[in-house]
Amino acid sequence: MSVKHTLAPFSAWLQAFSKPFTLPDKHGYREGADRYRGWHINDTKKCIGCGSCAEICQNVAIDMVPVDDPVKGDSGLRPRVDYGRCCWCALCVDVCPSGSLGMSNEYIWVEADADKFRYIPGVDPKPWDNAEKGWRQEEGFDLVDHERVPMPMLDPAERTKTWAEVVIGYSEEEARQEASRCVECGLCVAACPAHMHIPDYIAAIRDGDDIAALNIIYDNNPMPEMCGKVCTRRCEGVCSIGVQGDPLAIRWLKRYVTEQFDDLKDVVHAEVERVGEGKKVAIVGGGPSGVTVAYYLAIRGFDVTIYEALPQLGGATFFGIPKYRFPMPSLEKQVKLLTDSGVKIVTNHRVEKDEMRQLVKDNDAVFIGTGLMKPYGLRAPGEDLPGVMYALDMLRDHHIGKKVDITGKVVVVGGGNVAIDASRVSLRLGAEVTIAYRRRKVDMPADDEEIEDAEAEGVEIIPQAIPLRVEQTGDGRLDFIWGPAEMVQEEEGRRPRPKLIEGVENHMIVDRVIVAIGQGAEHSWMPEEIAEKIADKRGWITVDENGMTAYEGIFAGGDLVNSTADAISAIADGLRAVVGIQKYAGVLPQAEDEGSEPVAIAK
Amino acid sequence: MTTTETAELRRRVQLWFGPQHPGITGNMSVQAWLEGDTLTAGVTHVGYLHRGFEKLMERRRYIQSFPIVCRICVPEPDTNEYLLAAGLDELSGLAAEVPERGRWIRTLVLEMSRLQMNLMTLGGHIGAMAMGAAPNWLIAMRDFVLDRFEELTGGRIYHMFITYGGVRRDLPEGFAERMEADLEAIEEKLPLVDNVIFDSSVFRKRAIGVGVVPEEWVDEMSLSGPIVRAMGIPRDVRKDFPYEKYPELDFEVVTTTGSDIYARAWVRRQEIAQSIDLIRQILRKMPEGPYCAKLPNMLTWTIPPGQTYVRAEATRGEMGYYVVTDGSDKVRRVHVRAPSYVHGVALLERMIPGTNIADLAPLMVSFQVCPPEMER
Amino acid sequence: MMHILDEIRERFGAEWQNEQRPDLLQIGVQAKTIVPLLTWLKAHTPFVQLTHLSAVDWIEDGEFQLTYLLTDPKAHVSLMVCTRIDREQAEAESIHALWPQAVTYEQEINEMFGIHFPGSPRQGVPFILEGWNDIPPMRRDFDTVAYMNSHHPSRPGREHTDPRAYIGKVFGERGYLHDDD
Repeated sequence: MSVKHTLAPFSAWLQAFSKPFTLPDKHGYREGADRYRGWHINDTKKCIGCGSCAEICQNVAIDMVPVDDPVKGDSGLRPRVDYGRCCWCALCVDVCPSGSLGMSNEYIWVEADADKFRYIPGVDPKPWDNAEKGWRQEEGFDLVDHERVPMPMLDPAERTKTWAEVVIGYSEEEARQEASRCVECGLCVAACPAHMHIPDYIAAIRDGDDIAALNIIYDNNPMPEMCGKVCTRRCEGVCSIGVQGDPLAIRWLKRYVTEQFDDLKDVVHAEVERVGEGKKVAIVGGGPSGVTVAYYLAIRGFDVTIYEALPQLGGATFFGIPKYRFPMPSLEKQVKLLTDSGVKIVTNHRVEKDEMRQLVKDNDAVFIGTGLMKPYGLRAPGEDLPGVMYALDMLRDHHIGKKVDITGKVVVVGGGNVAIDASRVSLRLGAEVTIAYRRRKVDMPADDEEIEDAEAEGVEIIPQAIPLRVEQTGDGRLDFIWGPAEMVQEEEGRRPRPKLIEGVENHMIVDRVIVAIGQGAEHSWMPEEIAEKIADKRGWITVDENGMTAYEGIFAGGDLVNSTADAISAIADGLRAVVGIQKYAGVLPQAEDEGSEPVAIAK
Repeated sequence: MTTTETAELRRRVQLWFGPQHPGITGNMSVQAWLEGDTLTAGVTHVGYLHRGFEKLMERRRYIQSFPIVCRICVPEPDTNEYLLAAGLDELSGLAAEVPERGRWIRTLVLEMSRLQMNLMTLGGHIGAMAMGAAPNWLIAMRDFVLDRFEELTGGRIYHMFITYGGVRRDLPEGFAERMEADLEAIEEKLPLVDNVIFDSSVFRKRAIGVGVVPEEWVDEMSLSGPIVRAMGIPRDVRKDFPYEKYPELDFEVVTTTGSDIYARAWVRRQEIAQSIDLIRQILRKMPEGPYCAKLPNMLTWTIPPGQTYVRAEATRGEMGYYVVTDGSDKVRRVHVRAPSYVHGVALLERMIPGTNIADLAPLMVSFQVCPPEMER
Repeated sequence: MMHILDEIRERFGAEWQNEQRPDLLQIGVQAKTIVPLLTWLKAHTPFVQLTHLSAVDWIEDGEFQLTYLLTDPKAHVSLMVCTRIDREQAEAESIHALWPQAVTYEQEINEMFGIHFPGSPRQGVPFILEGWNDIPPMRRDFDTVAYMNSHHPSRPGREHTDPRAYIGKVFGERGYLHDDD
């Protein structure tokens, strides 16, 4: 053993005179790192209460607790963290679809009572609520999938040459992959007018059980193939994944399931008691609301007859929606399930006053779902000139097989889905199409995707264009004269109004002017004593919580009743009437009256 | 332990070493039998911190298993995080998508983890011989590394950072400079530590020639890590089964001879220098780009059926994860092959007869037994 | 040289084989060939190390899987030998005579899965558990949540509202295709 080795241990003593290794405790507090995982914070305004944080927490440390009334797009629930269980892994922060949850870099908190270590971040005030530092989501790391599986579509150049469906549809693999993006929060259920069991059928699609998915869908929607193709999909608007990414393609997933089966009779299994045997119900108008009432009453044993003025059921989804979006076989498949379920269908038959009186007398209940059939006029000089037509008439005539006189250059006035449909149909009939709309493009009520598709196919859109008048030109064409509008914010919180810029006139020489600025109700077929009782001056019909009008035994739904004017709202009206009519007929099973939980979520 | 063995052992003094013994490496115990101050036999007992991690993972989604595994070796969690990620990356097919920068950051984290663990263990080496100063210095050095871990991962001990498809966050701005400053601070103090450990007569007397592991046992018991390298056998998973970015790094496997406690401490000391060098190389070579692959929805992620075994070099030796999937959204089985499992039970029990009681704690530190990874 | 998997297949028979990675070969064999196969591998091939020994519960098949991981430390290749045994008669031959550290693996598997290795020295001796009186905990049918609830009651004051169910209830979600029970 050398001298060096003997002395070595004592060299430690020399350190007594040098600067310490450790940092002096100057402040009594050391700030956590910039991305330290400390106590939770939550921006409760951004939080939508989807519960993904509670779902991913491997310690079951997070409870969702009600702090506010639920509204569409926000469950009103907020996460409460139990620090007796939390392991500060921050998966809750990383998964948060709204990006509201974070962690502060604060890590010291002293309490004598262990139960105090449980609070609702952002609701129960804490000193670190406004901490700028701490763990937050970072770009480049996502625990949910923000990218939608793209929907295969026909090439825009090909589309206008044919009436073939533009949307091709998901393959099985694509559907399963898209379905796997769902976090099953259920916010979509609140937004859907019919409150379809969306997360449940998406889960069934993800798990490869298409039959289960179809049955969950049919649980409260008898026209899902239509909805799968053309629904206004309010659900997607509130999808939690949509806050920071692409919302789930809920509509396309529904479409996928319905397309897997050619005949629904053997796949959709109604398991209801036939409480309505011996009861008779007449339905005037075969649109989505009428079909809904018919189907769910028929499977309950009711004797149901639908009266439809047009040659086919479907209402606006038949005569209004172009076949490149919703082809006939899709509609026929759904109608076949109705007839298979025992619904009697009388088409090409317009109910008139006397017959209506008889129906009311002969039936236990009558449902009116005749929709809005009277187009609003242009309200500008020249609207009666030949060559000026209504989109609704033009679409209906086209779809029932009448020759439609569309040629040359066409201007479509309006910005809703009907305007877009009329434009795209005109394109396919060989016309060159321009849309004139009063407000900005972002204000157009039509579906964004529809607008994009129309533009891709070659429709030109002129926004902020107010029609002034239509004149005939010397060579038999039409001069569509419009003035530019500026947008004025008249009231805070309301959408800006277009105001005509005086003194400017633009001319557009066209062959046809198609008016698509809305439609109203038409009750000339209805006996006066009924019409007076149930409809207001503008033709709107009011119903109670059972879907019944002021005339006892007459129920109503669809565009006549609700202001949203879409198919899914009509279906929701129909569902309401299904319960209402059973109640009125005195055959509603007790359990259903209490509105117990649907099978799909009770599991 | 058979009945005859037990009867035989009862005639001697029995001593429970641990689970709270200050000289032990954690919550485990050695039931030892003594003649004089020489141990004649010993049995390892574990189970004092068993939390059933392997079982818990079978009941959790893949992403929910990820925060669990760091607990399998508290002082060196990152190897566990890497292995679970590597196993499931391989079985899910995500392995091909891990971006380059993600792989480099993984390698960085693994090497930082090795560095801080070796600093602590080296302190343990001399701490087990009741010398207090050097362990304190080494723990302070380790804290420099933990500062960088805190800054990078948001936590000092449980980093929960290496995950499927890459890592959870990018390097913060200025990270390389701060890391370099810390490495320099550590390097500056290391000679001091060398002096009180490797040059110290106390350590030399108690470590040289003590706890010699025979070479024949290596294959027989599947030994690995510094125990093997202290015999002069250049075995290192980073070279033998290269993973992540180790093939692109320039380093030699550290070996020495003697196979005693001193040799093993020496290997660790050299590996501290090696890790410092590797961290510098990594930070120099770090490319720009994404740090994590695009992940599927972690709440519904399923992985096709399969099984694999992935391994990495922890400071204690070969750590491996046997991972079995069955097509569901949860693992079928994860079985951790921990180096301490062999070193702390079979090897330790075999080494105990003939060992002086005072040498048991240093011997265990030199095997770097980590109890939580033995019982998982 | 013949591929090791083919050689095993020829000598001992094999149910399946797979090259998971170039450095990880997998083969499935019958339980009765395990000891002769491992003995042969250790004596006549470079696969001299027993790296790992594990069990998997395939409760739906009524079987346990035993997995032996052998390593060739020179060529750096591992060989995973798998076999299935009956779950009811859970018994397998011990390999502790080949590799002494297998005692610990067999002890733990015995404790955690209830698989018996006759002749292995520490069968029935607790490894991790103490005073355990339930079914072996790593079996799939051991319910961790039920165990926790009966042994470690939760602190009061916790109540979780599931958003999905809550929304359905608040907004009157209901179905029309089925009668509610």
